[in-house]
Amino acid sequence: MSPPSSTDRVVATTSSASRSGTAAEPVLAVRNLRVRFRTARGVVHATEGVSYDLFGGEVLGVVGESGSGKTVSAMAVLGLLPANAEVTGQIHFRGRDLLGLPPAELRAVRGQRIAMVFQDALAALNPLHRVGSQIAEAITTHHRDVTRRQLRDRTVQLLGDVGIPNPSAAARRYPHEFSGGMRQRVVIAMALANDPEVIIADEPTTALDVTTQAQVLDVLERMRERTGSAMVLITHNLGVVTGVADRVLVMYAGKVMESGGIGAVFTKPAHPYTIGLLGSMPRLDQDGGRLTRIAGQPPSLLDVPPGCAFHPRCPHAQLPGPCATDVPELRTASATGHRSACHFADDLTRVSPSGPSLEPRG
Amino acid sequence: MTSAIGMPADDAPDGSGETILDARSLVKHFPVRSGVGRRSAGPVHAVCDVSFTVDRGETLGLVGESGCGKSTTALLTVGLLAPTAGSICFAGRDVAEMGGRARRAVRRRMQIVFQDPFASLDPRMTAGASIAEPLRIHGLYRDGGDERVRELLGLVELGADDAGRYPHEFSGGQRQRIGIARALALRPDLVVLDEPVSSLDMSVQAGVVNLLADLQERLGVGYLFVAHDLSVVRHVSHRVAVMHLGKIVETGASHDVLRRPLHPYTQALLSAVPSVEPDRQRRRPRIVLQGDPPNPAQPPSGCRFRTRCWKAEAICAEEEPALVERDNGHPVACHFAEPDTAPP
Repeated sequence: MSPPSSTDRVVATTSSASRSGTAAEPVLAVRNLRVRFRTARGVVHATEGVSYDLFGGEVLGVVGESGSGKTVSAMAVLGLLPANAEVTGQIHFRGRDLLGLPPAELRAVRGQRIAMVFQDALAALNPLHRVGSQIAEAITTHHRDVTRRQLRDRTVQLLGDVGIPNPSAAARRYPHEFSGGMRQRVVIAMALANDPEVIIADEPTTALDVTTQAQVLDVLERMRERTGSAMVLITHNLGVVTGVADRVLVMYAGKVMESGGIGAVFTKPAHPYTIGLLGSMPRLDQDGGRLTRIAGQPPSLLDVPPGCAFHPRCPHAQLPGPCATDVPELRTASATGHRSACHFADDLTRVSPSGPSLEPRG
Repeated sequence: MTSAIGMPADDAPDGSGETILDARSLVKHFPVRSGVGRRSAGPVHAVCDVSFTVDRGETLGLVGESGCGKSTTALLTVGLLAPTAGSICFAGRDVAEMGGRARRAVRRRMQIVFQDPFASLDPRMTAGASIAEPLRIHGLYRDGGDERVRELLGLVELGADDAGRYPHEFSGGQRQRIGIARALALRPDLVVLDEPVSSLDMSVQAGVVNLLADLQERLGVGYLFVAHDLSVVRHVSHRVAVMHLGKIVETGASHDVLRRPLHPYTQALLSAVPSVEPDRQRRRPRIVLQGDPPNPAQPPSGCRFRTRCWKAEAICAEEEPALVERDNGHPVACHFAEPDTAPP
């Protein structure tokens, strides 16, 4: 891998100058993030009090099923939610609250210091423009004084960095001329164009084959290590998170159910939802037999169950009892040392110290 | 088996373990036109000489990357596409040689469930009407059709009152259950499942996978299970066939092929599956294939995997490896088949 060239430095002055935060201070601190959408059918509670820290150079995995609020909480960070969204809470980035920022200042952060890799590369790219000019646009939006030559060199270099063969010819091609994996690399190149401090990757490999997924994760990880960016990796695939993330946040119905180091959460899960998710994954190292399924359906966000949102599907719910009435707080479970939002987290981990074990229900 | 309430008895019941589907040397070429004047740009060889069988009560998993021809194979199997060459034998008879009436009878006995439960159901038909449609088409509805629809809903763990609801009122997993009920309406011997769970959430996917296994046990139906997710395939299949660029490169008992893969492509596929065990994942060598799969309109000479293979030698470009047993237990199409090799 080549060291950053001079063009690199010209383009990236702003971000490298400000990259001085100490290791102990989070780059991104989200506090009590609450997103609601007013719709004709009622108020959608997309996220309810989500808090997390993202430290420099680390990868935070956010897992959960569709509709758990993973994407919405990421979009809120970037100010990309539609107008009918009501966002409250705080999103501290380098000490400033992004939620109170005037649009012009937010634009200076978005795409430059916090970049996003979208799930659907075909939708994220404009079909009418060459990929090179789309990457160049990501740079010129934030750096007006770059010469055309610098721009071209930087674009070609980025395409080469993400492993696209023959980058100078590739820069002149259109999105439809690339395969899915190559297109996702273009999107990654675009996100990295300004050397962001935080990359938010929303299901970056979901539409891809396993072999291509491995390639894209590889590129993402290599580029991240090289630029030293921190990353929020949103995915429903627990395996993807395991390979890449340092810490993980398990979300359900707009709330964080469990959070902690990846090893701790996946080997000693302290929330019935996490246990259920792990049990529902077919594994390569196990022959047939039944998968543990989580009974029922995820709740509608128009009408989230009272108390613990998971209680109607939970095999451990004590009813009548606190599960249906009191919202459990995210607190450290004594047995495992990581945080779980379950009234009975301590009992759970005592019952199954060695790993997930849950009887299927129904 | 389910009770045949008000339904005509099935045609001669066959014994178990019998081969119901025998696909022989299937070939499918698609013409491609491109550029000025839509000139012919040579056919895409989507499926090239693919043979396989499915027994009653058995699941054959067909795996491979997108574009390898697995969905085309599924469509050829149920007759939604006509093969360029090769034949499909159902219960011992070549479908192509059958007359209209016999072919219609065969159509009843093999059904397909599609990947996208949002696209495969008519949004203006209720769940009940969708499930009843195959019964009506084959003239079986008048005789206790209502009863059968209720029974089918129960079979896929939906309520009788769900019959009156429309697709948009259901979640993805429930819609896929409707698709499965519809496929089972005519009591088929074979159901082709084309990526039936890949669009579903993990916890919902587990429910559908369990349901498919239960139904097979109760009804003795054979499945051709097409998927790209090896861990799901491993879970549901008795036997697997690994497809790469229109050809089967390795096949055998599921636990054998997936525990001791011999073809470098199968090994690469397996190593790319992310695991949830942090230790295991970090310990395991991961094979990251370089580049994209080759263009199926211009496949490489010899072995079609050689351009991405770390074991390729001169012979691979010259001679196409046959899918045969090579003293390693199960058929594999590689000149250098051996267990557990990783690229240097």
